[in-house]
Amino acid sequence: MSNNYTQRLPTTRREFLRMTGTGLGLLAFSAYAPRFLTDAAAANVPAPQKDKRILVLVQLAGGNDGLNTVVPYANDLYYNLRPRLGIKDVTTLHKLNDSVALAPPCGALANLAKDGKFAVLQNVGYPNPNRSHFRSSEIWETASDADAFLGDGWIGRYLDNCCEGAPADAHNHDPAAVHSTLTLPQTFFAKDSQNYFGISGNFRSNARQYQRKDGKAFKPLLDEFAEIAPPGDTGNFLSHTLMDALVTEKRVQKILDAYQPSATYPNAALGQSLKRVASLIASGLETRVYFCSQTGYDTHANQFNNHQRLLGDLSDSLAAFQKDLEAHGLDKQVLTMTFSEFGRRPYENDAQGTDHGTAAPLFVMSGALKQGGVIGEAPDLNIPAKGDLTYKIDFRQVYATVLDKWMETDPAAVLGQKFTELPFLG
Amino acid sequence: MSLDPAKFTPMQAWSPLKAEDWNRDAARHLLHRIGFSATPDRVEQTFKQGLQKTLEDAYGYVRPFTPPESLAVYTQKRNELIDAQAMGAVTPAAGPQGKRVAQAAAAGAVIPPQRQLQMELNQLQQQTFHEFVQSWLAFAAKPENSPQENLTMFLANVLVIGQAKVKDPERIHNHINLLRTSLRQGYPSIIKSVTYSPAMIQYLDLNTSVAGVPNENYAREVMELFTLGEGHYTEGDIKEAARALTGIVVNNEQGFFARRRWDPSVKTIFGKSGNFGADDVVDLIFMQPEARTHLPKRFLAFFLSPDALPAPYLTELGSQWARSNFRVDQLARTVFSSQLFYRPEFRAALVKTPIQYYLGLCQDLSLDVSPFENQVYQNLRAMGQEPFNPPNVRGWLGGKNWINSSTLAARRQLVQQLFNPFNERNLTADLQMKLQAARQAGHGAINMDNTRLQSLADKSDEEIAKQLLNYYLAGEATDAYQRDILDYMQNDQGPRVGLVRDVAVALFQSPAYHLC
Repeated sequence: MSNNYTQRLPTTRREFLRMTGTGLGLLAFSAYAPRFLTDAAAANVPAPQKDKRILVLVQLAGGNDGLNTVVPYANDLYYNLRPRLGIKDVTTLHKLNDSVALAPPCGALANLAKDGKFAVLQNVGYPNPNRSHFRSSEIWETASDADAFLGDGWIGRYLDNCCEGAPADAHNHDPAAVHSTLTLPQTFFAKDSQNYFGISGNFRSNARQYQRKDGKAFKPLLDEFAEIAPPGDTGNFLSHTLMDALVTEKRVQKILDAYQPSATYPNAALGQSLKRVASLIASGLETRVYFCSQTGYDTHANQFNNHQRLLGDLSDSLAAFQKDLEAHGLDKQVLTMTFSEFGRRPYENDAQGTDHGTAAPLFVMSGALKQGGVIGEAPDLNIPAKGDLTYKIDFRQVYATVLDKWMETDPAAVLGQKFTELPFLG
Repeated sequence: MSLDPAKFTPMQAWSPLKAEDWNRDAARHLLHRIGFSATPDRVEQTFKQGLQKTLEDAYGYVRPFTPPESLAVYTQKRNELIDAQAMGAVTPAAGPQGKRVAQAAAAGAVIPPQRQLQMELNQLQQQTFHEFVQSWLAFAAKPENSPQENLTMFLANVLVIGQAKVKDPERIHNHINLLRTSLRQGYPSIIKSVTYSPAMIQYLDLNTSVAGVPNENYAREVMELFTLGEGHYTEGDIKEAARALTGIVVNNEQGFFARRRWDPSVKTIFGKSGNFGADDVVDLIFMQPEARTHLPKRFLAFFLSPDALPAPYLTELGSQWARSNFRVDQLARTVFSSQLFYRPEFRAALVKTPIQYYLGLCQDLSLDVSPFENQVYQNLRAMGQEPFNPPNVRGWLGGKNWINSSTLAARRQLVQQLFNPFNERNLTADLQMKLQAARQAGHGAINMDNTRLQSLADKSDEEIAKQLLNYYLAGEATDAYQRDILDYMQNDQGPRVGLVRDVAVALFQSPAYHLC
């Protein structure tokens, strides 16, 4: 990474300002000048807010089986519903209280729970549950009622809202939100044009485009072209979005390459995503929301081993992330939260799997939790044959708590209605 | 917007372009909008044959699309499963299984027969869909088909269905094909047909709408998104229309009116009362004045400009459209022949959709659509447009919404892919077979190797810059591009063909190339 080009191109606001001399090129007169440039110029390079809180969302895609994650080991009905899938050897479980325990591979999370840094919210769902992956994900990501259709995501609405009439120093210089998924998650869909950045495969391979095999200095023509804004509003927007992306991309690449984690992350995709997120947080990026995804939870058949492997990855990745943040003194500044489009049926099916269900537990993790452990009762398994679980916590109560207590914004403005908040944050 | 209805009257705006204003630049603008690219040979041909002949070629008749053979294989298998279920041999499985059941089976788990059948079908479903998309892309990439397919895509982005919910590739094909073959019909009759399209019945829950418990989903979208727009109907109109729209189900892959499920009582819609049915709802809608301007408004946002025109222009276009009995092709012909369309402020001002971007690259570079259907699908997904699978019933919002750091990264990645020859021996056996099959079927190159760049590399730096800029950019290339290219060619070292490759890659990734 020591070719002339990296030297030449600014990767931070300060570098950019130094290199452009006056600090304000022509670009700053445009509505779409790179944010780090206009904002920095306007605010005279404010120091990043050191105390700002960060939210990390971890999607468990496919619908996580709650009953084999937070196991109601004290309830015989659980074993009746799951003659083959039920986890019978209680000694392998990690007890959270007298009624539920974390699955065998989740020891690391159980330890965090003991320290009050990890909480399980029981029976999270919503009224009139939908069992389609597509639709139920949409409901979770847009935070809509089951019969309503919203185009934008809850984080997108949060960003649209919090930037409206915000004071000058509340501007986001770095990406407002970062996702490790290939495409922009619906959670981020916004009405305004938000500054997002993706750290998935495409970004990595594009970054490699700037390295020639012979190692010779390489002056990327695209950086020159990016600055030529085609006439008109749309052309201007394209030019500056691309410039933003190119600068952020090189900066992020530098951060990722230089990062020395203080924990060992699993090699599976989620661990590697969280390692990248940790490096960006540790670098002082002003980004406040990160989105990662772990896939494979749609366990219709031969569930047991697959599901336990996923939980192991999840537990080890989350614990490594938390340890890494602690080593950087950032664990009280970051809240990590899982979600999944639905839980699974309480009874196992005839292919040693489980089908799409309704409510399920949700995890939150942070050094700043007010209450760790288990919040809410174990699921009620006294249900009619082929029945399903009933939600006790509306997932929007969780969002409302996070928006109010963590992001310090009015939840009703984002969610469109009031929800009773939960005690895991103070 | 510099348009002033007092100076440039709506009548004038939509009247045909004057003969003296038809030139090569106008032809280029037209080609970029009705299709996906404007290669020099086609600009020349279009200019010479004239505007009307070009539009007649574009929209004059149906160019049939033949789905891939795998679709028929899928359909047969699906029907076998349905028959087996009907005969009571197996019960329908509770949900999709796909890969994980396959893995379970491979791991030795005993999979019950109904799951086995369902599993095979689900696996086939996704793969068949990708093959369908790939073969559609190859069809649309043929320049003579591009205008028809682009117009079909526009209509499919209004009369939206989504693969994530519909899943069945045959249903998706049938819906798109219904739109494709209806382009010369009136919009009211298209809506009537679409109400009976199995994909739509499923997508907007008409099949669950029964007398007594009507489902309002379709009734709402038909007014809000298909025909009138928000604010031009009441909640009461929707409730009543939903009752009129009960009774429609899918039977044997056809939309079917099950009279016993229909609510025969009197409904009041837009102040008129009667024991209305589905077709009546459409007729009542098209008596509303907003029905004249809603689709034209969507059309202009897709084909003309992200900014709305002043109302008088829209009203006039709506009246002309109504006089053509709401024919979709006539709307296209009016706009693309109009004086307004060719005004300078509308040129190179639209963001290409990911599909336009991809197919435009294929056409500009004379490349064939890649036979690796899963990779193509991933490319489009990363750029934000899974074909036939918009994020929700509103369809893709388009314009600036296509552009963010991730989608730009994906567009850049695509160009890299097209310009990086791969080592065939590194491909999996499966992909090698696909490549071989494509070659046997007479398909051409799928990426830019050195041979294809050599003829350009043999030219002078100035000629290279001129050719790249004039051939491929929709807008006028400024001197700045020329200067940057010449600087690059003269200051960097390395084989000349490599420099040309760098220049071309950067140009196709540049802001200007995303515009049409």
